[in-house]
Amino acid sequence: MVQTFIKMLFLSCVLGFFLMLSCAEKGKVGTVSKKDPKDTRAVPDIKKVEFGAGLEKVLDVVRITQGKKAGDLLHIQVELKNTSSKEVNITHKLEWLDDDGFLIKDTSLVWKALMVRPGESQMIESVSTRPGVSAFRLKIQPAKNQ
Amino acid sequence: MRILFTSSILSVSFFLFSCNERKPMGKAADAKYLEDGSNRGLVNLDKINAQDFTRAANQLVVDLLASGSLSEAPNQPAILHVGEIRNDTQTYFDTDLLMQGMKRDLLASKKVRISTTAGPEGKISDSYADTVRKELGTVGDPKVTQPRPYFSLSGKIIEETSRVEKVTQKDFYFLLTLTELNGGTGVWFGRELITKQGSRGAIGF
Repeated sequence: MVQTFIKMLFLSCVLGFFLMLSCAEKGKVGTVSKKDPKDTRAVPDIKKVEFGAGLEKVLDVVRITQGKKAGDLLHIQVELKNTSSKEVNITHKLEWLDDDGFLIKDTSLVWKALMVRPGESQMIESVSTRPGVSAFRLKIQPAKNQ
Repeated sequence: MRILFTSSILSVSFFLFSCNERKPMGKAADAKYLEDGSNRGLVNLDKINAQDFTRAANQLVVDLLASGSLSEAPNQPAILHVGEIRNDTQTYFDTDLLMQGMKRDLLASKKVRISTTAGPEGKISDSYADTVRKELGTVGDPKVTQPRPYFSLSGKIIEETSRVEKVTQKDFYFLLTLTELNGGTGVWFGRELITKQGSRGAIGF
């Protein structure tokens, strides 16, 4: 009787540990940005921080394209490819940084949902709302409601 | 001896309890703050949530800036009049929840200046400023300029509902039009669609 209780307790502890581990992984955020923030080439090098929650196994950042809109506004496009055989639901947020590295507080600071079908490439595109913006950070997280 | 022991235990417990964080009795307190644009906010099927307004505002501003329409004005930055934005959804909300974010971003882009004193009677953003300007204009103050808006922005928000069995889909359309006042023609037609599908609301997305 006592042994069964101890076994049950041990099993519950192990299950609880894995549950906590899986919850912690879900909150992880992957970040994509240019390797050199001042890089003004049309296709700059990509600096990719490892994605969390297994996103690195299913999503690939193919390339970043950048240019200017309306004269002095930074225009970027990030191509994401789903390399898996299942659809991937993510949320993403774009953060613009000015020439001095300060975060721009505008309406782009909002998480947006995106679904990428198996083998499909999706573009995340945006234009900075201020002149004097030279860098950005794209944050990617698995969607909560799959 | 026993009384002394019990009373000291009780007094230590009361002391520790008084130093402890105050929590409401009953159900566990779970109220917390969320940052603007968080992905942990509530997602309601039947209404536009805070993150929806921010997303729509951002997408519309990006589309407007990328279109290059604002750069076509002969005098830069052009003066923009923000006209009526009609709420044609089933829930009441102030359309400034959409427009204030847009105005801030458009102004920061340095592509436009936004008039708060131009517009039809009763629909001017700042009636005091308008009155003062008129008074100063009548006495001939040379500092009072009369810049005329070059563009006008107007629009509406529409809601569409569809149901299949227990699944509901809500489509919220944010439709904006930029009119060039000299020619009286639309130079940009913005459209942002926010679709939500499900059987009940959720916490986070």
